[in-house]
Amino acid sequence: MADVFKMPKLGETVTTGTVTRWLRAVGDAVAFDDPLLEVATDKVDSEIPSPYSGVLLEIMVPEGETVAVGAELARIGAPEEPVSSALAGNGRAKLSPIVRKLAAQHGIDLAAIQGSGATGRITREDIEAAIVRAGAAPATVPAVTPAVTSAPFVPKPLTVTAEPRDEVQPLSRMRLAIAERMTESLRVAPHVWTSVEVDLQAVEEVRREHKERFRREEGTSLTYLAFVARAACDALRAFPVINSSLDMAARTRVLHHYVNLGIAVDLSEQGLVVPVIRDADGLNLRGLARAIRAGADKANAGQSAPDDLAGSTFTITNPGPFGGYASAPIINQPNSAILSVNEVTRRPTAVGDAVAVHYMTILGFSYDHRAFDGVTASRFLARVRDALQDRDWAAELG
Amino acid sequence: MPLETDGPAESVSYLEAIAAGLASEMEADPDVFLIGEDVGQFGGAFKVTKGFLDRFGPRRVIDSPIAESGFTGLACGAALMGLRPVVEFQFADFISCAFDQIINNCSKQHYRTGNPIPLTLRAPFGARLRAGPTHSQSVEAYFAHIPGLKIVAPATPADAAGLLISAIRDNNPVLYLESKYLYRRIEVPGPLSLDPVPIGSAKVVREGTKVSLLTYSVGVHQGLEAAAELDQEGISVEVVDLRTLVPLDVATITASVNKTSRAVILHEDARRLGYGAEIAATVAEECFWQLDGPVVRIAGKNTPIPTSPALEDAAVPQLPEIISTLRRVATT
Repeated sequence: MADVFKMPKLGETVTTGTVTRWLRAVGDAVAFDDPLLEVATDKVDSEIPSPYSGVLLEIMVPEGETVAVGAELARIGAPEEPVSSALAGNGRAKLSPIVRKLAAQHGIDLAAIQGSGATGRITREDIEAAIVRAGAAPATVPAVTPAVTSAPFVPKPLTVTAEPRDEVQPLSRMRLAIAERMTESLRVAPHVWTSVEVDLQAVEEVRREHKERFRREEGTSLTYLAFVARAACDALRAFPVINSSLDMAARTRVLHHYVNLGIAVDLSEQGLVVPVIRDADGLNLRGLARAIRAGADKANAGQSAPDDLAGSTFTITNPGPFGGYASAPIINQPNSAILSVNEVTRRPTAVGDAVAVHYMTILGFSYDHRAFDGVTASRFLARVRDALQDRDWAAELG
Repeated sequence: MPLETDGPAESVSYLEAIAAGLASEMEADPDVFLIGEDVGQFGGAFKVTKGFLDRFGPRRVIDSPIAESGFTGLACGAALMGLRPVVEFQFADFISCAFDQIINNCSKQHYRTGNPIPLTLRAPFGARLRAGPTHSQSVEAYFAHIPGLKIVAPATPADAAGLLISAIRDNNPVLYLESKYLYRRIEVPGPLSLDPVPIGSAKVVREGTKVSLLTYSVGVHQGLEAAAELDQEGISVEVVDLRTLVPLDVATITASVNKTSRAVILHEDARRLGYGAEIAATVAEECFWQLDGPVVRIAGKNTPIPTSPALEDAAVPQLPEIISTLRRVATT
């Protein structure tokens, strides 16, 4: 009896995996715990060890294919078991170039052909006979299925012509994942952008007073981001619809009575990942600063596990350190909104009847207008702003 | 007597055909002369030029000292001056003594100066004569790598004569690889045609449908034998005699492989970087979408040719291996 190896669940929230590489070939002996294949979830690669010892009898999911958790990946069994025949159920077979070409040209179903090759392989003669049996039909184009209304929108591919001076670069899997997810988010969610100006003078003074000690104690700097995250978590408790996920198919929304806070981390401009701080609303300023740093360090080291990057209920992106007056980010699905922290600079602002030069920033806020409306967004932003400006932050640092 | 093949004859051997082609060009063109070790008084190491000294005289049939680099260089210079020398190497194995003359002088002159260099290099090559490692080699692969040099390797008496005539008439240096194994083993009924055979054209010597055997020289005869045997089993083998290695007749090769979808290459030279590698790569590039299986090479072992008869037989392709390989490729 062969054991059937199924797609493992690589994280609590992971539902699918992509086979990126088989590390063993059919016919290879495999020992328990030997690396067998590489699986990628959205942004994380994992090497999967074999749970069985034996011979890799059949690979049922080819490289590049994405399957659900629990899907059958391979059969591993005793060596005397016959290796899967030329057409092993799933249509992947040892097909020669001419067989592939003729099958495609004549619309021949290879599964219906009995191979006459020594290994059961379908030979050129087999497929030529099948073409004759099919009535010597001229090359046919497979029937086009009429577009159904629920078919996903597929953007018309743009053709790009590379000039001799140009360089053509293949896209990394992460780039492709970002492209797909950003396009999908913009497609499903009507984005509205709003923003609020925040006076960070009070935060800056607390930061300045505590930053030396904080760095000594925590080994990391006390960033504006931690303050904003803290203020946002509190405000989200007051506006549960912002901390929610829509399910339009079920006509429901899921309100999360906790904040799993996603923090976007740039990977040296090679991509972007969003480590998630679980139950971030239960952390104080110090705890948030630690969690933000830990998540970013892990991401930069390429060690984020699938679960580290999944399950966010709300996301903050922080282009501020790189400059930029205001930004309008794309929502990280299935969140309902995303907050961006922009550059903090000294600007003149009215304090009472006088003009003072304070540390200021713009918080940008993109939200899904299906989930809530502008008043909610504005009230939420005002609450975040007021917390940043008025809270006794020194008390929180102790 | 080789020189008596001009008229009707009972049969013509491969060796006689070479002699006939050579004599016919020497008759036709006074600029053609012969130089090499023992080509005159002794009539050539394998007696190809027996009688030539008497017939054409010592100015045109020149016995050289044992110095391949010297007489090849001399011939190179003579060709540049407008003569049409035919250089005989006693064994192809000795041609490496003249490597510099061939690589740096002969093969570059026409390209560099635009001046023709009509030089023919006759080299008896190959194994199966129990001659040991330094008298049995195949030299085609390293010369095929050199731009500026044509290479022919006839398998039949008609091609032996016709390709030699074309080689002598060609304005470029041509390496003429004659199989010393075939010299007296292959005979065809006369009279022999002395029509030139164009350089650069392969020939389908047996038509078939299941698998193409791409080969040259001795391999053609082995291939025809294997094809006849496999025909009894209902396996139809097409045998392509490449005849010219450089320039390769890619059109004939691809037409055959596109028809059969399967290609086996056979040569006696060592497998590693042998000329079969070039053919296989060409087939892969040109015929990929028509292939029904991997391109397979049958070739000599990557070892010097052994002196021991038993080991020599094991080192070069034999009929059983050729038959079983063709059968496997045709039926897998």
